Amino acid sequence: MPESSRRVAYVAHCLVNQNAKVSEFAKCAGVVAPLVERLRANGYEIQQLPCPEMSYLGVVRWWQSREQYDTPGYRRHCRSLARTVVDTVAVHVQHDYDVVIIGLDGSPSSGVRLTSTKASWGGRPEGAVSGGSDRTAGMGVWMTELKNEFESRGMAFPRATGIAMDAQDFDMQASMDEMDGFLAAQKEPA
Amino acid sequence: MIREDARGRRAVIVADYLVNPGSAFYAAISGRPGPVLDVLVEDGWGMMKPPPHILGESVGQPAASTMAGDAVDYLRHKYCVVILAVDGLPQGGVWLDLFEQAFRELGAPMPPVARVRLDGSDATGTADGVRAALAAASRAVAEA
Repeated sequence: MPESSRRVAYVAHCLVNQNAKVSEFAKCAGVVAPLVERLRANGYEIQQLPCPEMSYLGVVRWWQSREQYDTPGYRRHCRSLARTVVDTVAVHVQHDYDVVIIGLDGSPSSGVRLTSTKASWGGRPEGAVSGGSDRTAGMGVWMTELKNEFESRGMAFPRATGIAMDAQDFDMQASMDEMDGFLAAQKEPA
Repeated sequence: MIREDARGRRAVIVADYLVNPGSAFYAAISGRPGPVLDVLVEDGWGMMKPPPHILGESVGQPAASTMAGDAVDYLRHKYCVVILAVDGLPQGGVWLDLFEQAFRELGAPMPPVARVRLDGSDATGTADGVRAALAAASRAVAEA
């Protein structure tokens, strides 16, 4: 394999395991097939990021906003997971892989360009039923800590995007059209 | 309240080699698996995929620990979780020893292990064979 053709995508955990989603947010049974089809067609190997929400609060967790996840304990948990991820990315970088990250836009944890917000949430979880959280530009807590881990080692955060499956107006076809452009793009020369 | 959505409620801890057999890391492995990823996608399995098994235990141990914790939570809530390993690769290509240790530390039994062969000596080189192996492991979960 020519070294220039080596590509790997680190994808948000739930993009290949919808069982990890908080209740009502799974859009398909398991793997988000349109994404995996595109990764394979563009020659990307697939690596899966851990889901810090799943390992922190489990599969029957409540809906939560970014503000609720933004605690020292959760950030510590995310940093712990990030160390192992960056260890693995470093090996791919050493082997001349073009590394990309694909997050989950709209997520309080895994959002890359878009995250959730609802500063008023807390206590009895009735607010989620009466309309859910809002979406705002920015990274989720997990992606922020992952980025911090890269930067603490003097490594550039890889080229990254997100699929907005946690946004209220999500459109799979439009999202995949955008993904085609992202995946086809090449790493900028160092 | 838990409300239903599209999730399949079944997940497989799957060897990296079965997802990325063409990786540069695996140039020395001669056999190639059947259409495992196709089966997982088509049949609605969620994947829990550790990093490549050729990396050191410093990578494998925390991955196994995290995934075992997730798996125990799934099983507690009546999801199906199985492991899909590769016969002939060290630790099944999926750090089986580290998973055994992680489940033991959590006081939980290890999920059933289905195995794929790379030498064409059984049906697991085909989609139907992979499905049969996964179905057998799933039955073992249901009967546990």
